[in-house]
Amino acid sequence: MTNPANAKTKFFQSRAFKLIYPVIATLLFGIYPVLYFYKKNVSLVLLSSFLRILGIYLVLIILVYGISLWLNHGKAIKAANAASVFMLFMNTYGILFRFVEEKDLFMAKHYTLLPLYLFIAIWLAWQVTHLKTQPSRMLWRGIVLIFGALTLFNTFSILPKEIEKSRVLQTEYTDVEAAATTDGDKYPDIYYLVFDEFSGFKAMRGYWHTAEVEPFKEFLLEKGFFVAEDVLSSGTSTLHQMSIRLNYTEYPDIPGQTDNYYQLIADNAAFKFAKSKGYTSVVFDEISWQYPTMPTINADVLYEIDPSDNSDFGMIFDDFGVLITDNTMFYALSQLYQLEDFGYRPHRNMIMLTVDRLGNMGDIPKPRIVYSHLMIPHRPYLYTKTGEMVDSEYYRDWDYYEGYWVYSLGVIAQMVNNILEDADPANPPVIILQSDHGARLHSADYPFQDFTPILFAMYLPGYDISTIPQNVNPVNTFPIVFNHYLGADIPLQEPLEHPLEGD
Amino acid sequence: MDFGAHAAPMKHSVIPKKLQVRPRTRVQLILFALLGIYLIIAPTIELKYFLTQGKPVELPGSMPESEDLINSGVDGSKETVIEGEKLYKINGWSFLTVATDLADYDIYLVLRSEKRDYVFQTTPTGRRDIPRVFPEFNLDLKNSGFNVYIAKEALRVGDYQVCFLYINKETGQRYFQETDRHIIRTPNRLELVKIQ
Repeated sequence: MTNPANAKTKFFQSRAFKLIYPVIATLLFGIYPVLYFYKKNVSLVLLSSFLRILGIYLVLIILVYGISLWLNHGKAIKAANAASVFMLFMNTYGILFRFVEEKDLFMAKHYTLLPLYLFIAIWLAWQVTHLKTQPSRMLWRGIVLIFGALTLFNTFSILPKEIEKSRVLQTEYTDVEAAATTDGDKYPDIYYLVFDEFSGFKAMRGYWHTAEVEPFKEFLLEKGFFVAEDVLSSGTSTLHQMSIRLNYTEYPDIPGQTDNYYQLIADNAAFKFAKSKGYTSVVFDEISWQYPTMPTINADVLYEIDPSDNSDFGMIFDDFGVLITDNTMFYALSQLYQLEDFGYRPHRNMIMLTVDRLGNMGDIPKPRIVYSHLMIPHRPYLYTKTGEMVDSEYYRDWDYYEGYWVYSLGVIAQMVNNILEDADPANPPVIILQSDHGARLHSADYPFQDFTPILFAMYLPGYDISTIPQNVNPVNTFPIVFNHYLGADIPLQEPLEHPLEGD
Repeated sequence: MDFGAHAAPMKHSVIPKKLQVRPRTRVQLILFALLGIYLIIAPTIELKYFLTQGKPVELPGSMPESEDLINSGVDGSKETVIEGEKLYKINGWSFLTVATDLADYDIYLVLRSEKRDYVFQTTPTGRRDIPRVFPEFNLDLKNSGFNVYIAKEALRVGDYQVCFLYINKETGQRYFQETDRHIIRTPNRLELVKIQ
């Protein structure tokens, strides 16, 4: 019989083990950026996104180590050190490229910078293999110790947040009982349509010189909308703003409150109140696209963006994957992996579905409260003002924001027309057009005050709109509607005056 | 003294021993040199053999003196991708005040530096605002807009004054106009600026 202790010793002394165990240094060193960025974004990124990019990295590291081992004739420690040096260059190419491009030091082209960087990476990796055995072992141990400690630290930081995330995602919300009322037929449908990062008219005129502002404002006024031009958001975070407005309670945006905001949006006061009045709640949700860890909004009918719509194209990287990959040598291939036209198909489909469905909701019991939150004109800037598709290279380029903003006007006009055409003239709907915050363009010539002016227009049949100030506080959105149409008595709050300080 | 072991004749290099390099180092130096040569010539090769759009055109003859006969405005420049090539799209409007029909002219945007002129063919586009702004001209200005695509690689780093050149398609008569707009080519960008 074989002694287990002997077998164990034999295994640790085997050639296979001696070849394999040094890879631990390259693994700890190579995957550190993935772990670091996941820790920083743990409340916003799904574990599955992290595991997907981690899997790709593991394959890459094993491949690099394998080649290094082969080139070093099986000298495993030296191979691991060389592979780690290569991974250092692999993980920083994108950062260097963007730095050179931004600082405009010299011409940044992948076809020149990448060969240079690769050459230096391979040359230095080769130089490292010339270290003598003792310094080589010291270097290897140093990498294992430092990056092992960092990995442990990050893992222990991630774990509690992961548990909390899982708890929030699994929260179940209780339904509100509808009060027995005969007024249900009289209540108007309420459409709360939010367009993410849609800058206010004044900012569009002032900074972007957008000629299309006036015709759109005229369109809204002709339809009978109240249009306010001096409305400000009290912050620039979507989650914070939506949690405030859906719960008509103002509070400052405090870091670390993401889970709290999630719950306040998912189980919000506006829907609860409307449900108590017999409303059917309908949600067209694209917030969860940007915040995939957000729990499902508690609604009777829910339309969510369907990321699996991309499956036929085998999309490799999601947003988290792109965040990591853009720092690496793969950045040179970004046009191949960046979410091109097909990558944003679910988003395009969601916009089309929402526009179409808003004028075609006969199958959903009335009265309805509809909350649509579309990520337009938020990046990716998919279309120009004339409806041409933007090249994926510029999906995140602020130069294309204005064009997409103008494109969004067409989407909004179509939505408004569809709703009004489908409406019962005897009981017209309430329509609220709003944005969460303005354009958050971090540029020296873009005034910080322009981050907060928002879109604010309300279609309020039978309401004396002259009583609403031009600088109405958006937290009053639902109180204005509920007080007038549903007999609520929610106190209104004072207007905001540039609550943000420049940073 | 016994030199028995070294009795075989030795090869003597003409290079002093201090300056001699080992074969391995020599390979590295050659590779570095090759890489350096590649880095220097690669942009030229790209411009000559791979870029197909946004290049200047060659016009025979010299540029006439600048006259005050062309009204123009350059609205903006934006980087864009056309058929996989990164180009700068410059857009604006212009018209020759003494023309009877803008369609009679080939219109060029000229980028002028102290050393040379780069001439780019423009594409006419529709502009509804220009006829409203200039009602006093008895000229159809509906198509007075223009687009021009420029590959930044086609220009050397430097400061270029934006100018317009109108060439009558039939007579070949040329009209030239300098503007207060400049395009600055940096290593990685083209920037449109207004010089007061």
